[in-house]
Amino acid sequence: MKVNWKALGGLTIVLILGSWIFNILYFQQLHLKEPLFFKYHMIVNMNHGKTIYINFLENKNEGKKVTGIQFVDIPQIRFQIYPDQTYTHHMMMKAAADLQWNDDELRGKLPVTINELFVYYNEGPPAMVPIGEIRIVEDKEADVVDFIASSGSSDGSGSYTVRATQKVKLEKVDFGIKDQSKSWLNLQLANIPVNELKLPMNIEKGEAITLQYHWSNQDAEHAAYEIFQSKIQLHFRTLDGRVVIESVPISQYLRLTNAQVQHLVRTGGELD
Amino acid sequence: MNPEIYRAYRRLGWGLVFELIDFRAFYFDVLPDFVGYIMIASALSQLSSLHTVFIKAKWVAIGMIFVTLPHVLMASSVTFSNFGSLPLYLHIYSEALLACHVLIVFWICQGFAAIARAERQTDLLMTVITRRNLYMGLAIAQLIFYPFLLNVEESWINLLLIFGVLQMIMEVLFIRLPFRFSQIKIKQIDLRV
Repeated sequence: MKVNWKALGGLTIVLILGSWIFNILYFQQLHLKEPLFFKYHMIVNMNHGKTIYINFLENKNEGKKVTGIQFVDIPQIRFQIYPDQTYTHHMMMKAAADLQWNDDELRGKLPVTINELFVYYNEGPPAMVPIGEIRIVEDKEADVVDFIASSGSSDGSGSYTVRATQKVKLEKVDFGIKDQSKSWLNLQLANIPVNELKLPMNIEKGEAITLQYHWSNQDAEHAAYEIFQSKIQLHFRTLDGRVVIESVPISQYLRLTNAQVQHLVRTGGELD
Repeated sequence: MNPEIYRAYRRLGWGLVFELIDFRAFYFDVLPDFVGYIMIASALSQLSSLHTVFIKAKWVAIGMIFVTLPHVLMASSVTFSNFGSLPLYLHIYSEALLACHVLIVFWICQGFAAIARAERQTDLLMTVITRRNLYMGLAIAQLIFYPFLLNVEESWINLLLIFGVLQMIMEVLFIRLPFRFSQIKIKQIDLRV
């Protein structure tokens, strides 16, 4: 059988070039021009010697990489950067910093609100990057409740249980986060949705109350890429008339799927 | 056989061995590819007296002398362990080198097949055709599927290991051919077309 080498060669070249062109175009479409920082709605309480985590996304192979980040107003907070999760084209990076609760210089600046990060790159000049809102506060320890247990899950649900050390009245439940996020947050206190609670609510000494929460923003278009590590504030009034505020952390884990990351990058990383 | 032609076959074989082995000492390629392609181009230049297809292969080999020069100091070999971290241009560079090498192999095989046919070396002809078809099938499959690895999950990159092992076997089988041709008693006929 006579082989038509020219036709076969032509077909081979078309297949090889077609495969390369298609894949390179797709690859380039998912290439981040700049590392992508997520928007935070975070309240950090300095009382407990807390670690702050900042997530950002960068290309897995070539491209601009973050070499360091800094809070402009409190440069003494030092971040360490390490890879957190690997995707097909990207890496989820994490920057972690320990807040030293005995650092007097830092405590003197509290409360502080951070809206921008100073970011250093492996190429080009450093730049200010919007980060949402991170509030570092120093809450006084509440003496009307004792912490018993807490749990959190990657599906966005969690709970926090405290026991009253004295007879108190719960007068108010404050979200402490931006209004928009309330629609993605299902919050129950003692199995009753918070907005249906009849306040003030009497709580006897020794009675345990559980705050349950469930974030459902993972399915929302842009909200899925925002990170809420906020606090719910429970306003108690003691029998002697004092108002005591207990802050309950309602953290949300950032676990994006490969498809979510690709969607985010294709839409230009627009988070708002 | 003409001693010049005998030496040309041997040089071609050893030049291909240089291409196969990538042995590095402190990032420096001890058996540099460009030296291998000098040997291949020189051998093909002499073999072109037997068939004109070797001339085409020779010119690609001459081009390869220059484009493989950076390879001496640059560890550009793509392995399944470093695949994800390599920049795009290195993927393109390594596969473009493979494509050019495959073209040289194809034309050498065509020349060998023509010589074996003219010499009525049926067994050798069948061996050349079988190895050429297997080599081309494997190399073309790799060239088509390789870019997909840029866009699929990391676990698929293990496919490179399978391709690598099969490619190594096919390269060794192909390198055997010039040494086998150097052993046959070729009549002094001119196959130039």
